[in-house]
Amino acid sequence: MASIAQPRIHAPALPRPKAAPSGLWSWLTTVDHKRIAVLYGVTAFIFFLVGGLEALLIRAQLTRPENNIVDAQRYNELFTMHGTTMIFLVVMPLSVALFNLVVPLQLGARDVAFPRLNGFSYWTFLAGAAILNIPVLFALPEVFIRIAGVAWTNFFGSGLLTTVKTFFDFWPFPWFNGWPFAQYVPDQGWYGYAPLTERLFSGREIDFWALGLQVLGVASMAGAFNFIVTIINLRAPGMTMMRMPIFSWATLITSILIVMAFPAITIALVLLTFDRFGGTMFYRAFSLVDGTLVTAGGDPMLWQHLFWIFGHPEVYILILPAFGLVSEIIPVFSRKPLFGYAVMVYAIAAIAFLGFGVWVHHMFTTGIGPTPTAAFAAATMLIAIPTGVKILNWAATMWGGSLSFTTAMLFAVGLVSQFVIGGLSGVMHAVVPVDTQHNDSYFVVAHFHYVLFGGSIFALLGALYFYWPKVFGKLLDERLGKLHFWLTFLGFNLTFFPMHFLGLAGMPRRYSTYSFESGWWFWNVIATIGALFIAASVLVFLINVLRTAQSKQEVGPNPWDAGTLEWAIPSPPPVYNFRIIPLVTHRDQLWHDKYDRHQEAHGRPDGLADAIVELDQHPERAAVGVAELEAQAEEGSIHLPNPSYYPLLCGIGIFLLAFGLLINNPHFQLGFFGIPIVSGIGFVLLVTSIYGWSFEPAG
Amino acid sequence: MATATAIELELETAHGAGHDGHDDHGHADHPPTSTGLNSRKMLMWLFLASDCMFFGTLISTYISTRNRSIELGTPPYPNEIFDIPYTSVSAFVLLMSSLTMVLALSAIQRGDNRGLRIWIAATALLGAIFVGGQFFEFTSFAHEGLTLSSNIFGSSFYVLTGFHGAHVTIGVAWLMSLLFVSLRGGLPPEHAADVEIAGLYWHFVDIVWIVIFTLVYLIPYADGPEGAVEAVPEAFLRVLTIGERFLTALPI
Amino acid sequence: MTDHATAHAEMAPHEAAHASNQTYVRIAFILAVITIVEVAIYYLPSVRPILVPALLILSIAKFIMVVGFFMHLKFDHRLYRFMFAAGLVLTLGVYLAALAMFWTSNYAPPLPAA
Ligand code: HEM
Ligand SMILES: [Cu+2]
Repeated sequence: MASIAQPRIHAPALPRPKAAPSGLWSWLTTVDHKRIAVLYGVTAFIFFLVGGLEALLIRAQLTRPENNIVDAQRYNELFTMHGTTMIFLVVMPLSVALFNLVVPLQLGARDVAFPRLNGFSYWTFLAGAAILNIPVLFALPEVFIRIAGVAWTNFFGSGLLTTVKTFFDFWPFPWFNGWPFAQYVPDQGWYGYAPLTERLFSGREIDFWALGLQVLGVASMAGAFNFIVTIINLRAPGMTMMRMPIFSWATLITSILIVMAFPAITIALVLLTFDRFGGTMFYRAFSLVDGTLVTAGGDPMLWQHLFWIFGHPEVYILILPAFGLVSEIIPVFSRKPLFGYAVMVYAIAAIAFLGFGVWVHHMFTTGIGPTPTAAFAAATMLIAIPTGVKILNWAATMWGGSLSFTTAMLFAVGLVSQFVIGGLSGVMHAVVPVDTQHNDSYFVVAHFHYVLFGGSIFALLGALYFYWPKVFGKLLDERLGKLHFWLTFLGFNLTFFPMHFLGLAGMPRRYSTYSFESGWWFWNVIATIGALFIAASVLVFLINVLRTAQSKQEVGPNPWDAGTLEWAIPSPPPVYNFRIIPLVTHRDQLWHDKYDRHQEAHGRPDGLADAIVELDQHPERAAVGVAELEAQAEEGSIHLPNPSYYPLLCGIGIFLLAFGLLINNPHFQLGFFGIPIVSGIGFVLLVTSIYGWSFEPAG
Repeated sequence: MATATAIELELETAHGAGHDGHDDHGHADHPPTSTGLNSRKMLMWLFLASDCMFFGTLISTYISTRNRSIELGTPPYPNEIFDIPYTSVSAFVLLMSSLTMVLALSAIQRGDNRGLRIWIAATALLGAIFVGGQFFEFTSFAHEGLTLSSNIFGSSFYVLTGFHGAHVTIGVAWLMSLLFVSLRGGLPPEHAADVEIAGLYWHFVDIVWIVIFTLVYLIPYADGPEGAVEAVPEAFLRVLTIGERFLTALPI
Repeated sequence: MTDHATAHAEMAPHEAAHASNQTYVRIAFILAVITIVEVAIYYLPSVRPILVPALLILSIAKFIMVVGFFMHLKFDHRLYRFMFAAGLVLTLGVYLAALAMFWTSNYAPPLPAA
């Protein structure tokens, strides 16, 4: 192994690379948080396109009553994969991409606390995403070709349809039954209620879903542990917790939510896997014995509890990073520090804490009894208080500021306005008699799209515009950006606002079609038109990215004149981020250094005076000068972790381990004495990689 | 691979890149951190906090169906199948392995290599005895008809205790690796943190068994001796009922 | 959470007051005795009425002793204490609430008519 041979040199013997080395291997073995951020971001964006395509198919199907673009089975698969993808493969990894990019820079650190663990998170995430999407990879083309065949038949009479049919029924490999995996797309909904997921009612598809989510859980937890330690332990000197940028706070608290919420779903899925592979009966109230049903002793309610004990904290895992991003963006474009910083921190913490005590609001209609219902309804309403505080503070930050509506700011303000709508319908759900009407109707669909799209996605898109120059050294085009925003905003509201009406009119979610008499046609057409606007907006964004990539501009360290440490270093940052770790004396250190350092009086409380004196003695450590110093600093070298291929190998091992269980099925036997050999290989690879990792010098 | 972005220098390693894994830089002190605390040890404590939730989920699953196999009349029943003296011995073995573990840590901190190896080996051995004991317990239960699919008790019992057994097994493998490293001379006193972190994991596995031993094995089951029936839920529910009555009495 | 940035004073947690080997052996002895008591009262008919609370209290005592002394939480940095306690308390809170709901609901799935 190359890096063992590599001596631990404590002298500047190796030349410092001017630019980051490139090439495929450098990406596969990278432990650099900025590169891992790019990997996460690109992967998540690809899944955003896949999930978006699935959404478009759903909308196409619902455009008119009694439509038949996809059948009911495919429809179930589409909404299941759309939801699962958007939550686990888009919003979460995009947030993690920003954690990776921004947090070490904001803290004034050279990397995260455990760089290889960070690489491991990414590769494991990719493994889980692949497991979930293998069936989709085969099924989506089939869906499209079939649609094309149907369209052809409609326009030109019969002929092609039969050809298409035979094409799909023909597959040259006899051990596969038809197209490989295409019939295994998960179809049970993103919260996978038992007993639908039991063997009695489902096929192999649930295994893809359950194993994929377990692997994704490992990836999320590994990343979250890493960020908690990084934030607690790698802050620049002088950066107390209450001087830490608010996005780092959001990351810290989101990570705590991840490590405390994911165990519940992981165990729930382990139990499900045992139910499916091991003959247990955790979620099975009945068994089929010799053709008769007998009481088994399992309880579908157990799944619902465990799922939502994870599930509600999960929605805060999806929104808190977005809140953190907006809290960074709004002050910069209002030219004012964040209003009520401390209260914002407490509000995030309160939301996260209360978030563990409201899960039953997803189960009001199960007849769980008056006491739990009342208690959880009250707790749910309580959450609206800290949430409202945040909205107020954003408004107050903008109040009296000199506002500039860049694209990033538009998206941030977009979040504030759209999230309020989603939050209000959330409080409506908390009123139990009302929720009994809303539950499983399009009203709930409207609610969670206002919080997830109007909330999380808006903030993440805004953050892409905000941080793009930091990553790539180029500004995204603002004119195209504004077009992007307005198309998204318009399309989003056209799509999802009518769903409130549809839901109140009684349209249930998750039905593949509706009748002509229902009267739901009109708003469904509007919603589909809105979806096309959103699709157009994504195209505009892609064009913007391509155009920017071709442009020759170069931006300085701080194009937005922002106040936190990530803007002190060049864009894109050097591999080691900070040659000189700045001393921190204030929250928005750059603004302080630039605008009011001279007014600083000595003798301030909380050790500030000492820090200021220290700063006076070491003027080179002022954050504002870091980038200039970079240029003149003499040759030297900085301790950085070696790249490593063990994270990648671990990811491959985990993938094979799960994949072996999936292909060892009646259609595709690959076993040896009953042991799936692929899983065996994966297990051996995983264990050897863990050992290799442990004995590899961290360098 | 050896695309060495790695370039080293004393300047500011402090807040520099991470230091995960087995750093053999040979400095006794971990790189200075904002809190002064060792990052890897912090990682272990966080993992244990999260592992509370893992085991909490499994144990609650077990408790939520604790008496159900008896109520439904689907044997084998827990109170008939458990061999309390046998399990007490293995619980005792695991408990004592915590002592040997902490003695191993104390040995490495004093620079006593021989003691370190002896106590680590003893801990691994006790752990192996526990796992072996669990294996025989499972086999004998299986002979009496208790399987994963025999009833809900079999399902939840095997998965809970098996998950714990897997933790112990991983711990034994970890300790053996440490022993191996120590025999190769790779565990000087500066690396006491390596042993300390493994020890935290080990003790945690032990305390989980303390909880399981009481909640799964010792607390009597539904048709057990009178008076003890479901005493915990009973007491808990009584409190809740009082609360509920109070609430319904409110003039709202 | 409070402010740890300036807590450079606590550089070496190992130097915190550690229990001696003698203390460890003493703790282990107490743990062994508690275990014996637990098993003994399980068999004593006269203890039956208070058996469950007694067992719970004894195992909590064991739990606290292992965490406090063997895992050094009693002597170690308060941040570790906070982390572990937070995980434990959150778990207890969530699952006591969940179990209360299981205990109040009657598990009697009606068999579908044949
Ligand atoms: C003001 C805060 C919020 C309140 C009071 C609230 C309340 C609720 C309630 C009571 C439900 C259950 C509706 C039902 O199924 O009958 C629900 C569903 C949902 N909420 Fe929220 N919510 C809030 C914020 C959020 C946030 C921030 C997100 C995510 C970013 C979110 C995502 C969801 C999702 C995905 C569902 C649907 C789950 C499903 O598929 O059934 N909510 N919300
Ligand atoms: Cu919720």
